[in-house]
Amino acid sequence: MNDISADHPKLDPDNALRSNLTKHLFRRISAHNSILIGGGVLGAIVLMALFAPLLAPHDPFSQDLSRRLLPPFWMEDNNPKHILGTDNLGRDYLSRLIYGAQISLMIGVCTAIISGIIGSALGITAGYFGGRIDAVITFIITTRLSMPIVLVALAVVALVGGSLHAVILVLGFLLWDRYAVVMRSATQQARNMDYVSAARAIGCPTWRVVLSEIFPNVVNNLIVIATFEVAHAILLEASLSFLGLGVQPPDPSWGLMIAEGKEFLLFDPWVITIPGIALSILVLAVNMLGDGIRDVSAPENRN
Amino acid sequence: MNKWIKFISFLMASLFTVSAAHAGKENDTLVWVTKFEPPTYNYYDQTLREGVILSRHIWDSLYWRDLETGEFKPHLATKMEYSNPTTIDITLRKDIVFHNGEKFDADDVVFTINEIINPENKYKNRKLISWAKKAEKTGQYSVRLHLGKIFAPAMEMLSTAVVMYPDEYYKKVGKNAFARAPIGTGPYKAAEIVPGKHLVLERNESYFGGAKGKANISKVLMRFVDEPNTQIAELMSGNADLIWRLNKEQGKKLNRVSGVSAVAGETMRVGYLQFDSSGSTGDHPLKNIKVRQAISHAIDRESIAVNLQGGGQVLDLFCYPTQVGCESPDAPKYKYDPAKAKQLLAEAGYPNGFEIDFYAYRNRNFAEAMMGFMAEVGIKANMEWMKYSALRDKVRKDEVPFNFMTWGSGSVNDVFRITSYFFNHSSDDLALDPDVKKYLDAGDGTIVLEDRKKNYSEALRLIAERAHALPLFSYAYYYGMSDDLDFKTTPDEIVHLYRAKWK
Repeated sequence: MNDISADHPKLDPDNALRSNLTKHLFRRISAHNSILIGGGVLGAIVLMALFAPLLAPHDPFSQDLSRRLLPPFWMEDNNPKHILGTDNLGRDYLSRLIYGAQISLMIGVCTAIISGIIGSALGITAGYFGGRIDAVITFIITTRLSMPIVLVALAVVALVGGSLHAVILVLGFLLWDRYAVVMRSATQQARNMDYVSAARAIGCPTWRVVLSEIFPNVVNNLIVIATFEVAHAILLEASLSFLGLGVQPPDPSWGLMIAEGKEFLLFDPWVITIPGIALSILVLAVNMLGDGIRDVSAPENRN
Repeated sequence: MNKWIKFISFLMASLFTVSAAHAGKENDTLVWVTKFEPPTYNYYDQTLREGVILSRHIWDSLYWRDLETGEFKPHLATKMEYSNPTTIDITLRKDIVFHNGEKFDADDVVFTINEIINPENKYKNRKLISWAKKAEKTGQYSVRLHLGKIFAPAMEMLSTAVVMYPDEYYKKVGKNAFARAPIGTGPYKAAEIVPGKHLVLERNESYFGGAKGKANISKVLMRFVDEPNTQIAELMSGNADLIWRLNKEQGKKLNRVSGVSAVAGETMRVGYLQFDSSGSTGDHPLKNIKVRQAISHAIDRESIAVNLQGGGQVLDLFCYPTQVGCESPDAPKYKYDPAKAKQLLAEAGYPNGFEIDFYAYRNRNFAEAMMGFMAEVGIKANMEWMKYSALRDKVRKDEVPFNFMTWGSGSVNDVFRITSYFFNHSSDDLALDPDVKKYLDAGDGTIVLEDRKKNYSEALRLIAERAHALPLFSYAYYYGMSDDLDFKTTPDEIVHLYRAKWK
């Protein structure tokens, strides 16, 4: 990109501006610690989840009751074959942790996508059309905000039965409120811009105005919220699984691993500490990345 | 390591302890910390285990089953005998008084039995006596009990669960006030009840002893703490002398801490897998006997019993070995044999296994281990985790094809309370096997011990042969206690505190 702009500085000012922006963006990103750290850690976890079958030293489901609760490497009596020890049923803890990342990420991302679609659709519609439509959608948002998420999720999951799909769907249909609120106000700002009026004036149909004029200008808000909602969903899944209503055994979910470690809290705290730390790191990384994206994409909003 | 655990436990104990009345030998007060507080101290109006345990301390039964030999010994009564298969004549001791000074006589026995039997009074645990029809006073110290129909474990019930209330006091104060200030004849009297916190029992100094014997320790403080790790912390910091229902790991680790120790006590509680062999929940692979046998061979019960639980024994019959009638030498035994399980599955037409919902309510780790064993032969069991009462109701509504549950037989040492309970075509019966019922009915319908044993043996053989259910293992609880305490566990799942003494 640099070369292009250097070779044809005067021939293509439009391209030059864009490449300058890209350069600027890269510079911002590389100077931004929380994006680098958050993104790096998250990237590592994503890779770990993707290559779980290659990375995991053992089958996460294969149990051996005679080798249960072997301690991790920093404690006495550890077994070098099981670096992080084994769980209550003699399954390799490291392998379960690696496979658990798949579930946490899948829940985080799928939930963010479902809730993102619902929330943005509602928010943009409300913001763009305003008036009665806005009033109705605002009412829906308020209704949703008045419901306690964990309680509603618990009730629904208890009714339909806990499973990975149920958790994703329930959380997806519950966590759209922030998208809707933010997209609504962002769209309200964007719709009064001159280029929107211009597009309307030359007779663009509404869908076109929304999709090609409004949406690209509010999408950075969407990305920022999405990262926060990923973290939120991961934590909620852990809470649901901890209460026994989330992901069902034998699937290795970090929340479930924490729940299973509860009874060993006093004597074998590592059982609960290891998945607890993993969960904290993942959520921290996602949040740092989200913060960073917000700063980089719209530094003027920084406070 | 130990120092840290002690330090943490001290911190936890100081955080959570409400009234740290110091436990121990010095002030002759045994502090027992347990999870549940009985919903009421009126024993017949509740079913909770802690309430059942208290009934053996505050009250007495007519006879008493010796905890070591199992023999029925005279206690409140000097003599109990059948005058015919449905009538029992009872002669009472004459020297017994209740905690409040009221004399114990035939009126108390007749009142207690008739009061609880009467369905209008709606006692929650009415079934403890509802097998009898009515009690009749035949003298100041003699009672005749009419059963209405044959009930073989009558002696067992009258020697354990059926305790006597004082008629005058009960009539005077009524059901609810009685629960707040319960009066009995037992080795301990309820001295102080603080709902939500604790109960103080004081030794009954004028106790007659009888088959139970007098209490050794003068005071018992029973405290209610919900969280097991906190209970352990209480024990380690000296604020409790006795805790129970620990798991194997906690017991093992507790034994490494000085000043306290843990022992496993086997109980009568039986874990089992129940198959809907009759197909009353709909069409599923478990209707096929070979599939049920395959599952029975697929699960390594020994490994779960030894490694996960510790202290229990693997069971081959659907009952606990000491229970009267729990023997059947010809019944088949299912050894752990995954290859045979696979072969049986293939013969049944499921060479690649199948998927089925698997319901459970306690010991998630046991359930998960069993799911792991089934997965090895190709059966994908999806766990459906529920609360006990919800699961029981679902079973009764024929909505559960396959469950892992447990049964404590109400501490009744008789097959009647378990095998007959589950296979007599009641709503808890998923097998609905007429042959099994025939033998069970014959066993329940006589008081001749040999006939009972013969019939139960046949029934148990059929249950195993047709794999209607798979008995897993008996349960064991780990008890944690201070080194000062001398306490022996018993398989009836009852903490007999009056037997405890200081070393």
